[in-house]
Amino acid sequence: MIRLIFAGLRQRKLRAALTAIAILLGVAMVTGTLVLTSQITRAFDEIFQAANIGVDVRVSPRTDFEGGLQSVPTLPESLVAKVAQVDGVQKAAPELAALGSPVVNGEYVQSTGAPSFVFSLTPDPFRATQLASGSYPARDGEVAVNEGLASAQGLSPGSRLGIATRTGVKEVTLTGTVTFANVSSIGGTTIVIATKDDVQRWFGLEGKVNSIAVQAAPGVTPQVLARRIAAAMPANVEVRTGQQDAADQAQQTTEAINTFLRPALLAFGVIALFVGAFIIFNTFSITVAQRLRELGLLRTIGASRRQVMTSVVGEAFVIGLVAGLVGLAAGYGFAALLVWVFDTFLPGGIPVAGAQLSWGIALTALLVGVLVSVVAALIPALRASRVPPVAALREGTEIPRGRLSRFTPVFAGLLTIGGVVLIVLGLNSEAQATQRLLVMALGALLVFFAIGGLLRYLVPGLSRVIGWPLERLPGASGSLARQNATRNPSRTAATAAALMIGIGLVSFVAVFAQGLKASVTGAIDTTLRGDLIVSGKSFQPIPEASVAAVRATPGVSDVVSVLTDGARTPGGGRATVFGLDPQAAARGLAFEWVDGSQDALRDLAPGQAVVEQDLADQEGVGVGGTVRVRTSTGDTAAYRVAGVFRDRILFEGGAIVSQAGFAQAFTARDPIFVLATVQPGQDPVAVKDAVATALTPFPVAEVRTNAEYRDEISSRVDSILYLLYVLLAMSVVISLFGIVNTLVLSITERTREIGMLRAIGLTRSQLRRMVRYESVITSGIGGVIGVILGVVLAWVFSLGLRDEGILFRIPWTQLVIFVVVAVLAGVLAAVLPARRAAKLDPLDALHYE
Amino acid sequence: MQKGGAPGPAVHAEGLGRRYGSGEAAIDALRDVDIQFPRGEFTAVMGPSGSGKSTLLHCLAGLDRPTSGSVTIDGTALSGLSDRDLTVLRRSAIGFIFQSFNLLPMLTARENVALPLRIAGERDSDGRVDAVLADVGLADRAGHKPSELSGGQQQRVAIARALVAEPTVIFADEPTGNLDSASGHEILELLRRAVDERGRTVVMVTHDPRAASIADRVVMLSDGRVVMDRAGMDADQVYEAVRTLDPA
Repeated sequence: MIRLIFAGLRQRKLRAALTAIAILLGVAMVTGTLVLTSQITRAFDEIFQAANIGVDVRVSPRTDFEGGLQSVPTLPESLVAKVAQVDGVQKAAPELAALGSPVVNGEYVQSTGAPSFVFSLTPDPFRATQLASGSYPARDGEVAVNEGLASAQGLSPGSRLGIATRTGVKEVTLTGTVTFANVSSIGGTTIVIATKDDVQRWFGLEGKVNSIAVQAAPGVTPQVLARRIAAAMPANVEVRTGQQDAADQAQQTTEAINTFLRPALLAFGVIALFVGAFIIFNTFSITVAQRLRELGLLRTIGASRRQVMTSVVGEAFVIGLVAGLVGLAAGYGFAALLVWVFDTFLPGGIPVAGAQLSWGIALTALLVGVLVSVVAALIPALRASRVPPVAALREGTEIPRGRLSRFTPVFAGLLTIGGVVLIVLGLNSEAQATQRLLVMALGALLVFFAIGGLLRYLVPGLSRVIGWPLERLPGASGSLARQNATRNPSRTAATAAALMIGIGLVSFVAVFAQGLKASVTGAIDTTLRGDLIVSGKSFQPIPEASVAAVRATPGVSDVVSVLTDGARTPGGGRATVFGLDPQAAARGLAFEWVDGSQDALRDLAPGQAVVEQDLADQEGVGVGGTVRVRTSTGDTAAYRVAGVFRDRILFEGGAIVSQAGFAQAFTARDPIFVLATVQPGQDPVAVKDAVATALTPFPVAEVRTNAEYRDEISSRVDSILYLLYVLLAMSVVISLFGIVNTLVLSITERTREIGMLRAIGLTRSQLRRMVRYESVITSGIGGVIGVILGVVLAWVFSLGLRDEGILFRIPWTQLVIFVVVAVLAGVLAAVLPARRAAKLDPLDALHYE
Repeated sequence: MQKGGAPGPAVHAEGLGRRYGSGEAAIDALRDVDIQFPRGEFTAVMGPSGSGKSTLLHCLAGLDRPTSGSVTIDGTALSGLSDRDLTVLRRSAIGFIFQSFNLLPMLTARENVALPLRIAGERDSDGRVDAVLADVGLADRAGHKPSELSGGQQQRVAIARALVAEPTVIFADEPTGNLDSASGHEILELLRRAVDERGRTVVMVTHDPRAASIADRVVMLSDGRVVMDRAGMDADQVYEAVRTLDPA
């Protein structure tokens, strides 16, 4: 049997290779994801290890959840001396960290979105950086920067540069360049090291530190020291050993990667494998049908049904194993490709360590390859085992159909319903986002699977529609192609289904993204009454001082600055608290009121809040009730509800309070955005330019008109959309191989017909056209059904997300492009098969048995 | 009733040779064959297996390229033609009938018959397809797929397909080989009528003496050479000729 399997594979080399490629790419995506995520995880481990060099114990503010970027918790600087007095402390040093980008030659160094850190200089042994050139800053007005930044910007010790801070751009002198310990890459992150006093002054942190690094005296273990320090500290202070601190930080990122990035990327690999499975299934189905005689012969000479089945499954096993091995290697290439994709489409590169080969990844690759291949080949193998021995003697024997096959439509129908039910369940469930997504993805998978099964009933009709223009072309190629496509509907259906999945998902995300854009831009249009929006680059908050600069600009009438921070309610629920100036806000923001009116917003007292309906529902409060919140550092505030509004996009789950009320508990002073209204009669563009000029000292802040801001949001959504397109493109590529495979197999099967057609006058180019058109009809079916399915799925999703304010909008142009892409894919897939068909000698074709 | 109008025979071969392989292993399937097929004549080509009769048919029809000599159809020499021109010539001047019918399974009888016209980009504006189908007695089967037709009926569809473009010559390769004798006889009758009533030229390869006896002329091949070329033979004479040539 084993020799038979290999002999069979050798005989059908091209087919075996094309089939292997179908899963290989999926395996590569899965492997690549695992490789990449482990690279990222290790990079962060390295970074946190490095950050804790020489730190035996670290003292930091206690936080019980991750607050927003706007509120970095601090400790009073006086604690440093207190820590230093603890018995067993050799050395204690303050640590400060803030976000601030370098400004070189007046140009803001916009790192691609990775953070721009400003660290205070710490003494030995706490230095996480090593000097590459020059020296560390010795006095105020001096900085060191990371070597990567210096070389990219042409800076060397002695150069002058600016640092964008909360209090404007500070002119400083470069004294040296540093590397961050032994970390392979920190992505696009920039590092500026300045004196402690500078950092405090620049970022309004006078008298404050972010953490305290401690070195233990000889003979004192970090654990013991940590316990001693903790005993001397107030309750809102966290004391951990350096190791623990590094491990905790690393764990946080690892968790983020494992719960978000890895599953998200794996999903694309699974989709690719799913598409590959369709192709394997189809290829094996076709070959089994073509090998009836051979299989019958095996039965005649004494092979059992089981042995016949084994021979087919064995072939799948070998193909899967090869695909697993090659896919493993290709996975490393895919990981590199992903790094490139992230760098290109996402703001901010990601830090990655070198790629490593692990047994776990290798084993996964092989297992995935073999499993997908074998499982997909099971049904064809079962069918092969049903070939009666008499097939060896007779031409045109058909495989007896399985007893259950007539229930296929019913079964597929049930699967579709099941899939839709899962999607709806996932949409409405209260479970974690990841789990809900998983359930919905499973539902979508079922729907695709079921539609793939039902597609064969639609193939004749669809071929007629898609083939219509082709049949109108002169010559018989069009109608022959259409009839070839419909003569074996299940084959065409399975081939088209593979493409349908890719195109379907692409359409789904396109429609979904269109809805998302419409929702956000719609919210901007209806809610924001101002003319200008000032926001920070890369979602950073903008310095408090910039608000005054905007307000002082001639032509600006109203200014609303929006402070925000994440909070928890007593029940553990999430709440986002926004602090703004009520009177200006009542003019600058227009809400859809559920209970109350703009007046409630205008007359907001410090102890009052207007809350978004989501939060009101979550807390079960209405007007007159009280919303209690707790900050990440444990401070609490209570607000009486003065009104309930609805806004699922900009202020979802939010409580809007006055800035005085905000300050009761929250420390954030830098707004997340500032809205400005232009005085009547003033030219908005001129005012915008004036505001931009006023904001020169704060390069992190950007001013846009509402329309520009809408475009910005759209382009952010688009860049994520393009990333998804790239990832989904793999599935489309895989399905191309499926089309090639099916066509090649069909041509082999129809060799004699092709010979006859050539004999009675079909030219080579007509023959090539015939193959191309069949390919186009197949891919057209996949494209059209895919687009329809994608739109329907997106519609179901949007129904479920209507409460979240997500609209349903169809991007017609894009959908038309997808169908065109599908058709072009068909043309591309037909190149090789058409050439093979045209190469057939009509004579050989006539003799072919 | 003749098409093309070029004077001379429908098909004309001169010094035709076809060698397969090279060196010691070379086989001469045809050796220096000179033969003419006048218009409106029904010729049967016979000969034992390996005598070269199929090779002759393929070379005459422009499916195989001879290694020496020339073939002229309707006054056009095949040797100088590109693959495309040759295909177009086959389309207009040659009809084919195969032993295994070679109909397209997904097309109806009518569509199969119309195929040569469609390939040529012509419209069946004058009802030619239905007329030809009626001629072969399948008017009531026009909408059936090959799988719904008997072997004899399928071969009649194939004849209709060969006739529809009104070619100069029809080549038939063992057209009765896969049929029972009654159906085979019907097929031969149809070919006979194509010659008598439509003035077609038919060249039929067969190893069945009874089939050959319906032809106007019997050409016998052996070892790639024409060893006999006689007109007006009846079945017994053909049997006799076969026996003398192929004692085995």
